Amino acid sequence: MRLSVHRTALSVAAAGLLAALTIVAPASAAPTGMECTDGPTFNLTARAGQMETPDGNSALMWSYAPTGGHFQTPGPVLCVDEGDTVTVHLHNALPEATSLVFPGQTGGVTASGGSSGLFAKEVAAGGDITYTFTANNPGTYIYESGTDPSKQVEMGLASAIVVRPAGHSDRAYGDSATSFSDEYLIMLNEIDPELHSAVENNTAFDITTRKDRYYTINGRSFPDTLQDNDVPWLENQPYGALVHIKPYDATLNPRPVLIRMINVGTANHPFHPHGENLQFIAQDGREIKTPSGNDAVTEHFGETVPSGATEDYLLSFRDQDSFAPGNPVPVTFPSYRDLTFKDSNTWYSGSPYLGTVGKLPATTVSQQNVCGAFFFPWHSHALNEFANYDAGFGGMATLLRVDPLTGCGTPGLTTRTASPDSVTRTSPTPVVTSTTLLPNGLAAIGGLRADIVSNLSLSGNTTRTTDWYATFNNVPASGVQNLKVYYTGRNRRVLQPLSGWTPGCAQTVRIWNWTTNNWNTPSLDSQTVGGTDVAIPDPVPSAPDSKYIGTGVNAGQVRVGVRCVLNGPGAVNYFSSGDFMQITYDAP
Amino acid sequence: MQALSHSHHRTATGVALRAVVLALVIGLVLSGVASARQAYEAPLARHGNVAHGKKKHKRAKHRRARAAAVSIDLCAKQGTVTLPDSTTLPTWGFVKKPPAGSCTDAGVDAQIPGPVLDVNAGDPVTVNVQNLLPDDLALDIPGIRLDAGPTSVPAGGSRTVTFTANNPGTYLYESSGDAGRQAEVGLAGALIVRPAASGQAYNAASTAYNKESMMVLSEIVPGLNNAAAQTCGSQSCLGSFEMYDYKTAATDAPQDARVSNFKPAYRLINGKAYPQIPTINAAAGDRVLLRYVNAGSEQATTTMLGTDARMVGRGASPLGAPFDFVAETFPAGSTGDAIVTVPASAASGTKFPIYDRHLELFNGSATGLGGRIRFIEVP
Repeated sequence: MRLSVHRTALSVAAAGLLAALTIVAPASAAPTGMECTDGPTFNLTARAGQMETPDGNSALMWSYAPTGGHFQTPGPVLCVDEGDTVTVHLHNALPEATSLVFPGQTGGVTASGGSSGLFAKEVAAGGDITYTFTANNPGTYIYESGTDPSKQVEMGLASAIVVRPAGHSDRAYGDSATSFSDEYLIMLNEIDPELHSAVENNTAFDITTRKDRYYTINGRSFPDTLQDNDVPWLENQPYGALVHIKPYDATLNPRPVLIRMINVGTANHPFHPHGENLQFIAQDGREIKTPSGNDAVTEHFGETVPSGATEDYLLSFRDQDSFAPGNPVPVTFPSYRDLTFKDSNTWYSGSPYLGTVGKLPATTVSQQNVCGAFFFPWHSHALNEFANYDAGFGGMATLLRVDPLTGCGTPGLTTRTASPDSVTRTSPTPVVTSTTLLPNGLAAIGGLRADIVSNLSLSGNTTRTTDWYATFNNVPASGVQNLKVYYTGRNRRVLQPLSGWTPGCAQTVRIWNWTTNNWNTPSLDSQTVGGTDVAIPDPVPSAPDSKYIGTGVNAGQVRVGVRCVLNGPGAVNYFSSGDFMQITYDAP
Repeated sequence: MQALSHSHHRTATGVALRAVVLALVIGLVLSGVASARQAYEAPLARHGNVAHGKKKHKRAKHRRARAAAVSIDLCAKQGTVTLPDSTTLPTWGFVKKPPAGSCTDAGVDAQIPGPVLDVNAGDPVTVNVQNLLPDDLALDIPGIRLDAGPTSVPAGGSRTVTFTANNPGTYLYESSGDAGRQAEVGLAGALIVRPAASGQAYNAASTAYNKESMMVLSEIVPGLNNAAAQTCGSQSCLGSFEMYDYKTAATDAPQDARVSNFKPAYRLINGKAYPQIPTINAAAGDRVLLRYVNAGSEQATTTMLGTDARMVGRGASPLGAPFDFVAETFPAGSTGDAIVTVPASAASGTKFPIYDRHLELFNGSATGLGGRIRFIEVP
């Protein structure tokens, strides 16, 4: 019996074929993913121990621990190969008789030792028993108590068995369509603390009065589910439940991940994965096929996992639209100033784009997103189960984390997005018109809004100019690469129809050069812009980027200016409206 | 002993009996022979099995069964059920009227669940319901298009409901009266519509079986049953109170009970709780069709040990892609047809447990296991 986390690393061979390499690493090496205890012989002890809940409570659990090892709940995930003769030596350190049953195993479960029980041979308190069976079919299974299950399974005596197809440890089943890269366990359960308290105190409990209060995935309640495997502060609950993947890519990440869902609880749970549909490929270790043997796979964004059932799913996150700062989401985003974050915590990056990090409200205390990953909640859609003793969010929930294809934080650079911190008008001066002339709420394309002002009304002049700039603060002083500017705006006549100005004024977008202390030349963009929004996607200032980042009292400042000029006799009053401005850059 | 019963005879027209494959069995014993509540005690007789020495009505194997008019006379009456913890509770139930008898005859007792109605696809079916209960009831068979006309049966009155059983499958019949509470206290049962080919659940040969058994799931909320036995004005108290409860004791007043805190004390298969539930005897290699009917108000999930099952139909519809399962949920009001193949290697005496995976394995507050536990055993 040894621990492993099963992972398959993919590399591209010269011929373009995918070569699979299986790496078996110590459990502690992999912070996420299903943690296997490899067989086919296992030594387990049924015993009592404590679990902790995120609200500070604890509950006595009965579980299976490695004999001579540390208590854990749930018990070890037993991993074997198809065709293995599986042997489980069970020592009973509980105060009453117990037994093991193996639903879905048709390979003739036999027991040596013990005495007959209703569902299986039972072992008395303090005794030993050995169960043996042949692992006939690959798939995801349960092992659990077959003695007084209403009580013992509720107390925690249930966990998972994984049978790998013979010769294909990187597949869920023998079928090549079930190849996967990584695998994740989502084991659902629920706890009535009153029952556990009664067992701990050896007092009577009426099983018909059960009322579940805690809901777990892999033995933890949200947000503990997000913590890595084997974190020391959850010493009896080793299995995390964060699903941590990268988007599909035909070359770099062609295989889906395998999600093994198991409901060892006594209630059906409506499990609801956000982010991407899951492909349902098997139930109870039986592939879902048409009578002719073809896939009968269905896609799901919410499915009941019945009590005692297992369901296998494949998941590929496909970034279908490849939305990015230069390919913005074609809908209006709310102003970030209007967003609130629960408890001042968020997994939102501040940017709607994978791999970019944006600005968050100053009240945000804890930003959990370091590299523009997408986070999606996976949770029971039953409100009472999405809570820790009624306090939400909690309970039966975890997150799907999708990292950028190139990785997160390593090898060192992260793409960040910033919106203006302030806007300064330099012309006309002095201000002669109220900004209330501006139609507020012009479309802000993509995320954060920059309402920017300018105006006009210089009676007698034949040249009329609007000139303003936005300031971005807190850009790192060094290490910035790949600085880009995004601007969308329009220029309109006052009191005229919104889009009714042709040809418009001569607009220049430019960036401040702190070494020359002037607007950099050449400008980033120069064109005539009238009453229709013109997007200037990702102009790249000439290198090096360091000259655009202020120092001294201006440390960390980047300034982007927009100037529009209207010449000639008969020039009319107009105003400029900046509807969207952001910069992006890569930084350590 | 009575298994599924027909209240009618069919004529096997122009079809020879086959010696090897005998009549589709379902032990066609005429009704009224046994105590009504024993209706489900035995698993359905094995295909070709003439054991038990009982009078057996042989139905010829029809290659193409010819539709024949079927007339079923049902009585709706009050009765009682005695549970394994010795609790006796009032119930309401259906029972077949003896061909030459009356609904009020001794021994014509309400059954929990109602008798299995067993017809062939294409049969024009006439159901005559005589209502001896204090409340109006209304017959409903989800999935069956009843012929035009009222389905309500007034208290003390009768009603004839007709339909043509077009599609093979397993159905639930129930009373929708008293806001559904009549079904919960027992006015519900199973209807089987058989395809032309005998020994199959549906027309597809892949749904063949050689043994079948009902798995009618229901539960008992004592307060609700007690309400049914009490009088509120001119009716029972079943529909009178706002809501009913809970695993109240048999003596609890109905007003103490509310369905808003619905908490059954007993969960049943074919009207019985473990250890009353009879074992299904099946030989190694047998294909046992389990006709699940969830006549209760809760989701019901069973699991099994040592084998698996193939779901070939749900809601009386054959599945285009049957799937195998160990644990599966049957939503309240739904039906499912699952075939368990007894492993060919199973030795005599091998037991395959099938049990409630919600683990409500109790009978009231009695100690020890109860609820929905059933075994398939190799004799």
